[in-house]
Amino acid sequence: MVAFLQNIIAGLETGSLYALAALGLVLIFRTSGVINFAQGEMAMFSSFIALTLFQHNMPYPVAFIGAILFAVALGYIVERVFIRPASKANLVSKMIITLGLIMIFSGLATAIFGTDSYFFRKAITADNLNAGGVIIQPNALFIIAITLLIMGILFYIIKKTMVGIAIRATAQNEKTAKLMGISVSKIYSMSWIIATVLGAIAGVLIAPTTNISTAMMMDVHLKSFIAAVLGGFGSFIGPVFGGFSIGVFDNLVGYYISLKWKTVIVYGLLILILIFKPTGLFGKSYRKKV
Amino acid sequence: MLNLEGVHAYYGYIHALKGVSLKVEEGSIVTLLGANGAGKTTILKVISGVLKASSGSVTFLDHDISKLAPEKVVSEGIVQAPEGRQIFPELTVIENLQVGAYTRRDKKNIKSSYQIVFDYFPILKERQDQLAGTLSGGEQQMLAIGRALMAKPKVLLLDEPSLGLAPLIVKDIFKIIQEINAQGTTVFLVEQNANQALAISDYAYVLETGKITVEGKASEIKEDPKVLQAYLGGH
Amino acid sequence: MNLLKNKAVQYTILAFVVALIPLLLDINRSTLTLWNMVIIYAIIAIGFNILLGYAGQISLGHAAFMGLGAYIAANLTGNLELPFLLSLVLSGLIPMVIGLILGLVALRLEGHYLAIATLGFGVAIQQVFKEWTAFTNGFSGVRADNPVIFGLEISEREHYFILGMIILLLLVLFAHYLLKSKTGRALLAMRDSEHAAQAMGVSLFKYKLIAFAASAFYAGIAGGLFMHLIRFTEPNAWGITLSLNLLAMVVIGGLATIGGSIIGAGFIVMVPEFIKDIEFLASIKSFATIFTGFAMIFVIMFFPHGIARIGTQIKIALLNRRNSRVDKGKGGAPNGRSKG
Repeated sequence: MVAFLQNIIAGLETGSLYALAALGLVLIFRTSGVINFAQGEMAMFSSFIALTLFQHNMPYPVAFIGAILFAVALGYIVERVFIRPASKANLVSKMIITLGLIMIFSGLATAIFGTDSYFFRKAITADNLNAGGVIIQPNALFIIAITLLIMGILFYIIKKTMVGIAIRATAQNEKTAKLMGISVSKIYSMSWIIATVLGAIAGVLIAPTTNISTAMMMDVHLKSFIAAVLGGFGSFIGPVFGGFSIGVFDNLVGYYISLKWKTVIVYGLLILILIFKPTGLFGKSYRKKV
Repeated sequence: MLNLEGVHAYYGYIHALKGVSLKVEEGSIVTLLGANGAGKTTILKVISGVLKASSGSVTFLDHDISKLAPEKVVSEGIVQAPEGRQIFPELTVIENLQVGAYTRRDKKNIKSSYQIVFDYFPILKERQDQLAGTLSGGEQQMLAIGRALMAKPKVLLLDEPSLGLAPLIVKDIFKIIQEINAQGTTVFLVEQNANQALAISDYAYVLETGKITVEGKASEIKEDPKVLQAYLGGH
Repeated sequence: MNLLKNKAVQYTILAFVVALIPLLLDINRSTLTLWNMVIIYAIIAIGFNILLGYAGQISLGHAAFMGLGAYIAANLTGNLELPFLLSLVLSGLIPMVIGLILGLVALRLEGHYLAIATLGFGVAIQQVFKEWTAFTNGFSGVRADNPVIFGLEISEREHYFILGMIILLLLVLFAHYLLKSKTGRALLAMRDSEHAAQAMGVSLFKYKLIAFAASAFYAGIAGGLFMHLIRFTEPNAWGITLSLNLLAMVVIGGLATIGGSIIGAGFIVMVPEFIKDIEFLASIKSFATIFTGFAMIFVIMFFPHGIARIGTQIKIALLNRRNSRVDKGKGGAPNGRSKG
């Protein structure tokens, strides 16, 4: 029982980061119809910025905020330079562009930061808590809490504010959104910025577990895709649920079945979802009335 | 108030508008008649800035709007209720109306605009928290017009508001269009339903394959034998 | 004379001429290794082009099929001591069967889901390579011998090049006839408009599956040839990097052209070599990857038909500009394909 709870907590910790990253993917997909395959690499790059600042004796919060500011600029630039000019291209071409970005960012990161792997500190370094045998790291609680907070703010924005309504309107019908005076290009920029920031936060928070290296986001990235597929690309709450589920599932499989074959088993889950519920658990197949 | 002069426009290599000139006077209801594919919707696209005219001018209140992005045109006070309603199905009725008010700066007065829309279309008030996709066709049309009104337009562009609706509902909607106009909003109406449209209009144009072929007072157009035969179905 | 106009005859003559070049010129071994690599990448790229260029379906997991081919070739000739040619055919057929099974599931999905499913497939298979040590020997890697055909051992790069060229030629001809057949026309119709193709009674799924299976077969053969050329492999070779390079080959070389696939393969192999010679660029780590990424994006944005058809595309663009000027006087050239 203790081991089980231990795994649940560890699963929620990583799951919350998958959820953040998945939310970024879905946000971009829903507004601009692009799957950003480079999100993981962009997050890796932002994490390196945090590391660099930290190595230059900046306090941790400054390094963290530095990474976020970098992500803001990165998201904006990528959308303007690579995505917007191709807005009329077909789905496959758009995917190819974000796949090319993987090469660019992983190559640039290698060129600038090298191929070594670096330790990065946790956000909270206080002593572990012991709740009836279950060891709880304060950092895990911090990660879960902060991601829930971020998601809460994001959901508030999407549900209640004018910007959020404009984002959803653009996601549903871009042409009409324009006719209603919504500056669709601003909405694109904004969703790329928000998504890149979400990725960066996930990157900086996962860094103590994975270390910072050019390959650090590979696993998180794939899991965030699976989370988005599980929850469904059609809703915003889906990927959050998907992220937590994958995190917990992944940990339980690793503990009870096989650590070695975990990735393969989780992939099997992806295939099962795609066979039986391709729109995801929260996906709606909406039929427009004519 | 709204002027098009010698407007040409293309879809790819298709020459869709071939020198269209028309005027919409302040306070009036002007109707544009024409068959499918004549270019009616294209004219609205050019006015709204979605499609750029390749030559010719579009002016509003004496300044050029032909280069403006769609969202800027809305800020100028020209708002469209597009063909096929195009409501946002997964937003609620009230959220759809909120989108309509997106460009408004006078946030305080938005509340009263809801009231105005609900006065025209009481059914929308009843259904305000429903997803718009669950509304009937007529209600969706009302929502599309209401959404456009939320922007406090100086000119309201209506693209085939009667399309696919039952005759009784069409009658209601045209009555409300007349009321909206009576409250001071200029209306530019694109229609195939010539009878109803001409009945409430001051002036009318007939568009055939990208060119204006007939124009005149609505009451005169109604009697024009050519129009009678082509668009009024032998009434 | 008409025979020379036949594409198949042209391919054959070209292949034989090129195959003999290393015999005539004195080229060092490491350069010839690169030439052999171009052949191997050309094979996988042609298969991938059938999938991406003709069927319009993307895959991010084809490195896994090539890796499978490599490990199968190593195991069949090493442990089971099967003859090289039989083993090579099997190193194409087994990935093809696995491709069929994956395709049965994944090809029912829309574009981005297919990409995610194949991405996951690639990662999962790479994990299998790492963990299934009986088959792959894990990170220690496996070795293979020089190929032996009818008692002749092929140890010289010149000879391997001839062997590779023959296999490439066979696969080019197969692709050529496949794409000229009803299947090829159906694939093109489908890529241009799924709805229209469906309306014409094309069974989309069947043809997508054919394309997917063919591409897995080509990948497996490429893997088998790679195994006997380099004679060593380990799991890290078969990851997403290779899958992305493969995508880059086909996009940069030219979607839906056989020649483009070969050009693309040459591009990917040769770019790092050119960079090596330029001191400034060589000092930037992984410049080749960065350059390839930019090149792929640049090509898809501005020359979506790839290097192979840049000439034609420019010609058409010039013609269009001239025509539109005649048509419309001073009016700007209208772009876009929006519907009325």
